[in-house]
Amino acid sequence: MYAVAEENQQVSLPLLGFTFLLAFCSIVYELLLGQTLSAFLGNTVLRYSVTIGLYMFSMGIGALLAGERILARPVLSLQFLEIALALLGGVSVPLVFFIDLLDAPAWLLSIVAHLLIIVIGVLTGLEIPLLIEVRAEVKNAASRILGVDYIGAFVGTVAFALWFYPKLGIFATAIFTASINALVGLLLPLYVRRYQEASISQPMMIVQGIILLVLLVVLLNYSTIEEAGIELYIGK
Amino acid sequence: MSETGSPEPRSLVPVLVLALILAACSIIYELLAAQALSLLAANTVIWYSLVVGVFLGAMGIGAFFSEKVGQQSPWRTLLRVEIALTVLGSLTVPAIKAAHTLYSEMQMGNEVIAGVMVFYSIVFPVVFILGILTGTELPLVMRLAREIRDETRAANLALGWDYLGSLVGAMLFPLVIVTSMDLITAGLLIASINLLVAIWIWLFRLGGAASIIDQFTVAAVAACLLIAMVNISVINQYFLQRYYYYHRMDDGLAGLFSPRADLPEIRRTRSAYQVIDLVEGIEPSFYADFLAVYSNKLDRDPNFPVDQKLFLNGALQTDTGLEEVYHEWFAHFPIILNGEVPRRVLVLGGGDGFLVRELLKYPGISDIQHIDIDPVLIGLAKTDPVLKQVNDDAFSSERVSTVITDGYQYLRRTAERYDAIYIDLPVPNNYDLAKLYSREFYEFVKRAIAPGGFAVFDSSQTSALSERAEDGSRELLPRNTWPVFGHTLKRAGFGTIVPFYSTLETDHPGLQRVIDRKGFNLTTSQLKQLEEIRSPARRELERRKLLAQSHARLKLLTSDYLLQGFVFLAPDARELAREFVDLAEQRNGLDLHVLNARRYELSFTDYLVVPEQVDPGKVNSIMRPTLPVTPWWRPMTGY
Repeated sequence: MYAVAEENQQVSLPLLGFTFLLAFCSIVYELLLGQTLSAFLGNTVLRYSVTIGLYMFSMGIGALLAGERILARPVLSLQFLEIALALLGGVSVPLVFFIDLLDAPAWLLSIVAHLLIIVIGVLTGLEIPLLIEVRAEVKNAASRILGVDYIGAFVGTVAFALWFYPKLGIFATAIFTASINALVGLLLPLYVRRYQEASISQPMMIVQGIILLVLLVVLLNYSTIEEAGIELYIGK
Repeated sequence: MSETGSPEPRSLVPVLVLALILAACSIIYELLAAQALSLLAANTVIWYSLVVGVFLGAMGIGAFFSEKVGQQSPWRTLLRVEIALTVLGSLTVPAIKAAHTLYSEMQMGNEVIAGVMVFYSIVFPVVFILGILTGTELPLVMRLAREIRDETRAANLALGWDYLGSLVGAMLFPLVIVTSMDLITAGLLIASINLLVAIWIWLFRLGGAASIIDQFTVAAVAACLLIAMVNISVINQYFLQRYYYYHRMDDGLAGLFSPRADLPEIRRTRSAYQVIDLVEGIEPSFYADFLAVYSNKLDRDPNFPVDQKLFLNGALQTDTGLEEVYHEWFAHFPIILNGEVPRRVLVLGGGDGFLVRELLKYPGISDIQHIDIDPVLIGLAKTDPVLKQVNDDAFSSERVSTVITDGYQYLRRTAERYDAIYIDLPVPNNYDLAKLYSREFYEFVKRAIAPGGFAVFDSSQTSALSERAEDGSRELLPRNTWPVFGHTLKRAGFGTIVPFYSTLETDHPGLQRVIDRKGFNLTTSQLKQLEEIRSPARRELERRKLLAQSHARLKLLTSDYLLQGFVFLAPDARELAREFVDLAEQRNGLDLHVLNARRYELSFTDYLVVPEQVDPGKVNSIMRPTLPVTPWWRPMTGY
């Protein structure tokens, strides 16, 4: 493993790439939930302000929660986190949509959506210390990873506003983003093993693989599923 | 400053509270910038995303930056950051508005791209520097916490309180600030909190250690802020005037930004949903002449208020001078077309009451269910002297019942069926409004139409047409929403879709008389321009040239600009009346000011074609909006 020793003093490009994609996915989930709330309950300004505030807050909570037990086993923790994020992100919009279909009161829809915002925020907040921990021995790991995380968030917001929402729509965006998240969830543990002596949980790899497969199948048929959803919504 | 010698560590509480307050202030600045931009550039989602993105990025840079500075004295550095934030924070919204004034002026001179570049080259640096300053705060506060108690937990606690502060700010902004004050006022208010923090640091943390320059700067900034707070209504009016009257300002930068006491005050009301502006005198010379030609309104009531415009969130909704050209078509055209007076009518929006006034002219309409989301606007329509006079106190009629609710949700849930549904909503220039032009919404509309009934909505953006070609044909401009409407309505399954325009004849003899009679409509800046020409012959030549231009503009106004688009909808395929009939069963008929048989016939359009096949990519849905069609980067203008 001489190659590893040579690049030891830098945070490698693939790791930064994964960081970028994860930050990108998380902010897109949050904006999706903000936009879904706004589509169903109105008042974009309120939804966006609260979503952004809750996201920053819950990310902070997540960072604070990253205790030694979690950091001690970064590979397993990351595996678990990415399963949770891909699942929640992919389910987010369809779930809120489904609750709205049930004629549930607005407060229920609101609570579920905001809970999703908080949980996704907390999980994202946990991610960053873990990614830093992977390369903790590199001096500038924290600032490099944080910096790329910001860039990912920025690109995510712009992509959401200019492309995802008007071109793909909220449903397909949720599935597409979750697919990226699941893919990263599969590749990241394999990659991290170069730096950590930790073992990968096979069952979690299988679960993540299944999630990715299901998401891809849904993504390929998204227009049919979306159409069926809209027809339910308009009461046909 | 560290207290390593003392047996009991000092309390962490002040630093934690500081972390909370500063984070709340910062996120509010960010949201203020986003909101100011989304009102001027008309796309909330994009502007909130972009501002948040730029702000986060800049915060990251600020965090790196703060590692380099303030190692010696974090309190002193924080004091300076707070002073800088006070100044920049209070200037953020004014800077954005001033940049927009520059843009408005430049786009009027057909320099759109240059104007856009000027706008953004002011706006983004402001947001960016604000982000950098904010980014330096947090590491400083964390370092201060660590000085008090040298453990990671202290810094983490500060971090936690900072996050909580962001949440507090993000909740306060939409729930309290947007609904209760102007953005400039809010900026000053938040800036004064930053200033108080600076003063607190000076007095209680630095004491004598504060440099003379720092002390002097704090005092000077405090004085400026105080003066600004006292004059806040003057400042707000100043920027409102730049927004609505930019085209009446004198030439040059100085003229554009010098205060104008002669312009009328803008009457602003605020609700939970929008700011409502009543603006007088935007085009003072225009209406009397125009109305004298086309309308008999001033013959009957010479004191009719003809130059008041109603704006919602800065977008024009209606104006009292020409509103009949809009509302008489809106109310009567579909009824004549359908050949039958409806009995039960639903009106969505139209909070000014002008449309309801027209509908009340039919004794056959037995009840009008009126839905609007904004109680403040309805209240204004009932109490404001001008609006009440123009809408003839329509909302007080026994036949009208108003329900304050979201029209979208109402239509989605209602089991009521209506003979006619009038949809009078603001143009879809953001996603909130785009929802009210979506395929889903039109499905609900279609379902709520009683057999034989109809729906109609105003579609002002369908009148964006190119100049007439030689053969009289016209093209749709890129900002024309018809392609979206056509496919969306077709997708929603309407059997009859008839777009029409309110249209006036351009060969009216009166129009030429008005043009001949007077030097029509030269603006103050044009007159000034003429005065500066020394040679009388050249001045006369120039005057004729300018006059010809303004005549052409008048013709354009009557034929094109005043074209107002509407769309008539029926669930089934239907035979329609192409001839004008007065359907009111009372002695004086409908008592119309403008609409007549000739203009009725002119109002059918052949420019807008209903598509045979639905293009799914054009259908506007709440899942995937295809509106607004205007480019997101292009700021809108007041008038």
